[in-house]
Amino acid sequence: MIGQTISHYRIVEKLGGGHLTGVGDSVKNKSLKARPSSLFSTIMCDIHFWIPLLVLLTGLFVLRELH
Amino acid sequence: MPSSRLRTLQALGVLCGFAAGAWLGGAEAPIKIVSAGVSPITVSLLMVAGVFLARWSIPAFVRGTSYVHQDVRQAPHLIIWAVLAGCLWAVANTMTIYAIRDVGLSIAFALWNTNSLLGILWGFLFFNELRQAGWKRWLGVLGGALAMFGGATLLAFASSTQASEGKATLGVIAGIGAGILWGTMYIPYRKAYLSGMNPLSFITFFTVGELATMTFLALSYRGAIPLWHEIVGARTMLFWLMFGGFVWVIGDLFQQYAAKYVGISRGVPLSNTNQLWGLLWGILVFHELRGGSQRVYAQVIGGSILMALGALAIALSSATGPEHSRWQDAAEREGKRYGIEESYVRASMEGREFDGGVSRRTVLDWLLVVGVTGIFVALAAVARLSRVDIDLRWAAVLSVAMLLLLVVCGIALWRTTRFC
Repeated sequence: MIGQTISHYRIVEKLGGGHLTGVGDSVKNKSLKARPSSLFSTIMCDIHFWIPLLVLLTGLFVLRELH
Repeated sequence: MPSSRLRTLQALGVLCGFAAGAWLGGAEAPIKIVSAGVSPITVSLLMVAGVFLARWSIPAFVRGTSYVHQDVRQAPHLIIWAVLAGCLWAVANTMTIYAIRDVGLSIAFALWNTNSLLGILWGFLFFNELRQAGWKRWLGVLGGALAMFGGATLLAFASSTQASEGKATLGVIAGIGAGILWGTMYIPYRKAYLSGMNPLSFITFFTVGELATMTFLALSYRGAIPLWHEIVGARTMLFWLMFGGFVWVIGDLFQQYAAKYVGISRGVPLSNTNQLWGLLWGILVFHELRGGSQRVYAQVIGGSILMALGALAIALSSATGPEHSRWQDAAEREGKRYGIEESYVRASMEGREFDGGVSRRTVLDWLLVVGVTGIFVALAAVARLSRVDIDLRWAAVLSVAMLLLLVVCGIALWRTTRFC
């Protein structure tokens, strides 16, 4: 259990890092950044994620029509 | 980064771009050996199966899976982008089949070759490429890409055998769609490499998206039972199709290193020289265009010269210090956004080993290498050549040229970056 907690914090330290631009820079508190959901929010606010995803979904739709 | 190091990395990226062109173009050769009888979707699926095997065994052989594991732990969020890029590739590849069917290779190729122009746009918009580059470099890259686009169009017209009638609009949509999907695929590429991820790690997860999407598409379009019967019926061709995928992966790996060190605005057009290599294989080894008209040969020569000049212009327009510092800004932004260790990002940009990196090969790595080799040997044992009109001397010459590029580029990558 302790090991799990430590490894969880290590991962979050790497992922969160206190630099959550795009999520809300006010979230700088160490206890708050130690949430896996912060990574999810960061990805959701990243335009580099949405453009390829939207292009992919459009591509799949077009492909269905072509077929 | 010292300017001498920057110049070395830029030259390495350009070399990787040219090697990528050779190997991506050469990948068409094994597929040309396979004659009709297998549906395009199944050809694509089998090729991707070969790609999957290569993408897991090559990184295991080069640096070991423990290295990949260590690397991914630095920026695990990038797995999402790697899988996303794989999905984009598979859908784009399937679209090209429809584009060729409906408008013919000549128009289709020109349409999806716009991917390099889109790559330049995304590179500029999102990753600070060509910022503070000066008008000469803008001219070199954009002019070079346009010249290559024109050359590719000429070559495609020359190498097209027939254009299908009807359904032209759908074919154009498919061709443009493939170009947009492939062009957008370079967003994940650049994001990963600016963040410090190693290309060997990226391709390992890229292929998961690739194989999953291709399997989904093949099952949806063909159905499980007919697909299985088709694969069993084509067992004598499996080796060539999967070997084509294997060769393609080596080219793609060089393309990834090119994207990493010279960016997508230069790396993508350079690796688009694959069309020249595909044409060389077609003309010299498979006797394509034999007995063609003078006009066709003029198109081939003109197109080849245009492509070569375009590639040369791009190769001579590598990034300078001010532009590179803008790349570093973009890298820093990514690092801050995802909390990636700064030294990891910097080490990757400088083509250095990150302190925490390990490259010990384990039993698992050797099992992967031996297993994949075994699969290819087994498939080769039952493989048959369905074409005999092949010029083996030219095949040997081109194969030696490709191997030379592999060795030269491989040694350069190892000495300069240790495959980082």
